[in-house]
Amino acid sequence: MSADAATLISVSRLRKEYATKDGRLTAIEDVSFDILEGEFLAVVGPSGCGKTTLLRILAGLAPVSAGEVTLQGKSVREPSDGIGVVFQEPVLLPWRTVRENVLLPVEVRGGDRAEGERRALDLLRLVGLREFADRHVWELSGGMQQRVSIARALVNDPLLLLMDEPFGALDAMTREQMNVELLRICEETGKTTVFITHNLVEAVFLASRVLVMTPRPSRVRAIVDIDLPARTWESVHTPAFGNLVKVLDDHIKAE
Amino acid sequence: MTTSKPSDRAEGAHLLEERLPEELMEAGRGHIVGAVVLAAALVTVWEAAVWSLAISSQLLPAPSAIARELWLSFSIFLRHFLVTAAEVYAGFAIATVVGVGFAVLVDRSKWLRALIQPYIIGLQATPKIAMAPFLVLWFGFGLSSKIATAALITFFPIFINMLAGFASVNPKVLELMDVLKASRNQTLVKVKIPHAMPYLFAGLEIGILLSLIGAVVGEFISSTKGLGYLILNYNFQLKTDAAFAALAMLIVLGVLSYAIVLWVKKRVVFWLGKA
Repeated sequence: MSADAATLISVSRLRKEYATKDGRLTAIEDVSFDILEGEFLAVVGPSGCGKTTLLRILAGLAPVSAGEVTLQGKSVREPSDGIGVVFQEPVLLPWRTVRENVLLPVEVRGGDRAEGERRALDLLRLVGLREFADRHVWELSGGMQQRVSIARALVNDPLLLLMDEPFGALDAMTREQMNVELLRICEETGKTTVFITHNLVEAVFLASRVLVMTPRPSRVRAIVDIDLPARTWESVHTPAFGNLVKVLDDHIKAE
Repeated sequence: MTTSKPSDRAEGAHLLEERLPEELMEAGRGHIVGAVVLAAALVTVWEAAVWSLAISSQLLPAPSAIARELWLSFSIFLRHFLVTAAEVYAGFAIATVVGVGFAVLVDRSKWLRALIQPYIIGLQATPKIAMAPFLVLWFGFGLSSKIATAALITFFPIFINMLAGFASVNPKVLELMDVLKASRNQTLVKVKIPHAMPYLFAGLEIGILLSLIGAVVGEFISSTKGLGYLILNYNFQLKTDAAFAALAMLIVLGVLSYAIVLWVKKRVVFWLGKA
């Protein structure tokens, strides 16, 4: 990543509180960071640390209690066209074919249908499901379904792709496969991506930077640059890779 | 929406699981054979019992006597069959349109939902069929009072099921629609209504049978046409075999209508049990 890459998203002094019956609960205390154009930022942290809350705020689905999130200088207060989201589950509509599921965002936005069809098929080819375009989604395996939802998130060509533990529900083998696939997809599309996970190997393998969050109320514990030469699944077993995982693990376990 | 038949699916479909539906079909065929055998056995026992015990045909006519009655006066039975069928389908259609329409309105407005919530339970518990005499009073002795009775009792399961369908949409899907900045109408048309279809059909399955009950009760109260009228009238004249023949026609109407609903359901809600 070039040092002079422009800032796409800026998070400054973000605070998030929830009202509960036992008073106010602070999920995120004070979080600031920037996301640069074209980078792959992984967010890791102990469970319940507000990772998903952070993603919901970035997506404009949840309001901030204090601080600000800006996308290209404009404050994010509601969902915007510039953001595609991949959830933990694929969230596909069973009455639609694979192609029709990918086209949903195009239909909702009301863009050019023919152009949308073309993009949908291109993206299905990108995620390796071109020949499954006219299948029903229930005919696909879990990993394939999640790839459909990645294609759907990309179909309106968003500035930013947000992914909330998208492979958390998959078995280890499929997960590994999906990591390799996602790396290739992100390299081919050059999409700026924020990827939430609690799997450190996944984070090191995919990300250019990893943001480590503290337990609730969350702060940023560290931002670790991942500087690995070649990213193949074999590199997971190199000492350099192992060291980076250890660094992240130490940050997470630090008191 | 296009459903691809197994034959025109692409090669290499190793991930497809198509066995199960076929197995179920096999099982279904087995049940049909069993049901036919059982029916034949029951009719034989009934016939034999009536003859051997010398039961009066005014009390319990033999199946052969009922069949004879149907054969000899089929055009009369058919005419009344069509009247009752018209009442049933008109009532069913009105209940479906109004039930779905109301469900959409109530789902749309929190205020309306809060207002009608307590009444839903109250009205559920009310035996709507007891309203039939008043409907005759208001709608007259013709077809419209039967249609109104059928529609009234059919409305509730359709309305309630549709509402339940709307309420059971996965919140994650609604979140997805929020991310896509979908309007309320887009969410309704693209997510809520298709999602509620299996629930709607559950309501329609109950509803078609309730429509039949509504139409017959309406005819019992006051009418000059329809299978309910025939049953009551023949009963008064102690023409029990003819009354049973009318009942048989009513059963045919019920089974036929129910089968039509199931047939349509299978085509509309093709994803049911697969997702």
